[in-house]
Amino acid sequence: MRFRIRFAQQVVGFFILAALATLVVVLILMGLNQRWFDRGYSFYSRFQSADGLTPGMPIHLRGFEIGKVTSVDLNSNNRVNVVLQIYSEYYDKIKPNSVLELEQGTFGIGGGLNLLPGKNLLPPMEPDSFLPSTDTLLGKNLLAQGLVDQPANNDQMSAILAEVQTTLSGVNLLLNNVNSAIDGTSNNQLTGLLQGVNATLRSLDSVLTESAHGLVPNLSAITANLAKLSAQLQDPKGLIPKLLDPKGSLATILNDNNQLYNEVQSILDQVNQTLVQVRGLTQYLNQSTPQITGVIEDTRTTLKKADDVMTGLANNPLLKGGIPEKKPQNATFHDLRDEDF
Amino acid sequence: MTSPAIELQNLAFHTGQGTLFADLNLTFFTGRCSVLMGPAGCGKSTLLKIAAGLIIPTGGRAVFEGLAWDTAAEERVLEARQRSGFVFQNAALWANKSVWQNIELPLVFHNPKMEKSQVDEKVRSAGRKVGLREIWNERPAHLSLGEQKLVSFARAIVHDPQVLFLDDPTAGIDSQLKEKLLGLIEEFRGLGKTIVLVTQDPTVTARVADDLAVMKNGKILSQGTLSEVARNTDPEVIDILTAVLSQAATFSGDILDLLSNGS
Amino acid sequence: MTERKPNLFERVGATTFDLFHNTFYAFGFFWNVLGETFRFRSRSRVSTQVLVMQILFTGVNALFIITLIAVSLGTVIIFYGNQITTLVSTNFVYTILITVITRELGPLLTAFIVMARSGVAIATEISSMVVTHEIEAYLAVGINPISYLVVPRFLGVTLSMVALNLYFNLSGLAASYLVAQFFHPIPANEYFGQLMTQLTPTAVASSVVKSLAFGFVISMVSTLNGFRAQQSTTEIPIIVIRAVGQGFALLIVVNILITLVFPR
Repeated sequence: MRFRIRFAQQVVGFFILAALATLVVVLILMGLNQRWFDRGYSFYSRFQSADGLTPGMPIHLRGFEIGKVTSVDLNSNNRVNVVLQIYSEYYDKIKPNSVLELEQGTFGIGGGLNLLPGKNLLPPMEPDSFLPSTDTLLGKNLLAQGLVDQPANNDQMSAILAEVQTTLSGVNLLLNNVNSAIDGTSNNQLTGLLQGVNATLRSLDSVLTESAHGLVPNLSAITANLAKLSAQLQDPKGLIPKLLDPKGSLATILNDNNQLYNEVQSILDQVNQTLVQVRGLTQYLNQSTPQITGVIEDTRTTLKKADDVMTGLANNPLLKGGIPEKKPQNATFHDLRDEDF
Repeated sequence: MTSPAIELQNLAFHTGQGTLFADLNLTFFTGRCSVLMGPAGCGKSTLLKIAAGLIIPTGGRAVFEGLAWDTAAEERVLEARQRSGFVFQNAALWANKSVWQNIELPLVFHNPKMEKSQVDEKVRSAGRKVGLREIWNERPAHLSLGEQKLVSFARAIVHDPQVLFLDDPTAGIDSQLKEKLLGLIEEFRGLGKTIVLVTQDPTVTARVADDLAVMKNGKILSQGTLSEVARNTDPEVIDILTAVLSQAATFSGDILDLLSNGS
Repeated sequence: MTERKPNLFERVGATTFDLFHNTFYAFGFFWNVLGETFRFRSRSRVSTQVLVMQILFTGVNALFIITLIAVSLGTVIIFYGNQITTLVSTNFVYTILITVITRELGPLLTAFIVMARSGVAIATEISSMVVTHEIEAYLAVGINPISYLVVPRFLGVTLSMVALNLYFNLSGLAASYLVAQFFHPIPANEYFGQLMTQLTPTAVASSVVKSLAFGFVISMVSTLNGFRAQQSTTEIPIIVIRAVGQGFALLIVVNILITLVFPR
């Protein structure tokens, strides 16, 4: 009699039990890997739209999965309520002032929520409390106030874009002031004008300093340049104190043998030069984000106008004559849209 | 006359090919050996299987000791089956079981708590009764038809049934074995058990029949005790009976008397 | 007298009648089998022996061929999967492995093998038992052929299906891991950890339910067809061919139904 027939009961018993044991082991491993037995800590949040939000999607903290979305519901105010579960081992990361940010995956695959933890050493938030999202005013304020720990090079492009936008609006303000100064509506606004230039340069400086970490090394040359510029502006004998001089007036600017004018002119030249460099740097990023170059181009154009205004000031028809014709400087970068097809 | 053991009422049986019989009535009595005779293909084997509850008729009903096979609860049917045994024409042994397992299965299936020694004793005793050689571990395919029939007989009597159905027990076996089988049937008859037997063999009828039914073309031509049937004037019955009675003359003085009285 | 040939209406009518009759008969049979299955524990230990032998023949003896097929399938998937997934997402290969091996082909290929081996064996055995009156012999000694012959085969085939499906998964996924070592080495804990993370309870449930349903289909189709034999041994091959045809078709249909019922 063959072995299998003689020991049929034992062989069959082993066959079935080993299969069942396999199933049980697989279920246990699944449970451990998928944290079935970890009740975790529940929190809730609110978003403007459920686009990109699905139950079960992971919550990441610096690339680590620390929890998942339990449910996504539309509430009575047409906002989206999101309930999430944070795994026990990461609970202590949920500091007060933490903010949730929706992260888009590549090709719509993946994605998830990013937790931006509060920048403090307080004990973690109570379970079941509200975690604001970047969609909410509270979340935006927390971010703006710098209470949230954002990764330094977390999406550099959007950071650059946001800061350049601020710079641009600063320059705009400056131009308005210059315009009104020319109109002679206010003398004091000239002070604001130059403060504006200063603030613009500072913010440009900070953009480049912040984004410099992750970008190419030649950026440090640019930032050094800007630092020098800022130092000049802060020089006690330099431009600003002179302008802040309560006696300072349009006449003063124009009656110091063009000295002040030349200084402002050289500052603007330097800013322009810096922007050309920044543009050169961002050119290689252009393929993915043409907006950056666009914004920088806009900034350069604005500064060019500022330059014109300064020239106009110097050549005030009341004093000298008109704004000279400027030979246009070609942009060093052309967008695809600029080309003739 | 004793009480009826099996009553067949208005039986009908249709196959895909046609009607085997219709509106057939027949009764077998307790403690008697009833023989059903008829030419080959007249439907007597089917009738026997209907009587034993192995086939459900297409019309009418078969009642076994007051229990209708087709409508009774399954538990009652099981009990009834354990009071009966069936010996098949072709022996119908389970081919993938040894001789021992063939005889043992009905016992161990219905009596799971029975001691192994007791099971062994009953199997051996049944084997001894039918005069089986020591071929316990053989498969049925290795045995002659005669031996297979003996095993089938042993299987049918191992649980000591009250009613025994025999489907042409002597067909296709040598005279020595036939003699042995007839002896067994006589022994059973002597014990007062109910026997229902189908055969074409007049010798068998002559040896063991108490009651006789003659069947042809799906009809019962005559039924009753042997002497009652012997008075029948139907030429076909007489035809069959003559053969039986000529055989019977060899065995029994009673039959000779019968014959002289009847004719 | 020559028999009149039935006209078209008679033939269609007869076929329809047969179809209804067979369907009702099949449902009655399933019902009977299920009823007897619930009484299986209270039945005799001799039925348990039949069950053990059925699992031995259907499950244990098929283990080698099942493993062989699973290993080949796992190899093929990891080979192509690796080329596809580098384009999309590295974790996508686990989704492919789970979908193909656990959810779809694991149960279905196992069922095909079991149908081809045990389904055929059961249909042949039962139909030849009918022809040689062995079924009647069971009835005669008071043994219900459904509870003694069909229920152990049903349970044996179904249990074997579930177990074989698990072994199929085990060997298929392990083979994928081993083959991956040749061109794209992954640490074992990374590979199996990812599998365990991506394997959803739905996938496991779908796989187990499929193997249970396939076991039921195979045992029912083969026993039911086996009992359709009547009196001639020449019927046996016809019955076996019919059982195999019906079995494969039903397996595919049931597979689709279960796939549709279980969410992604």
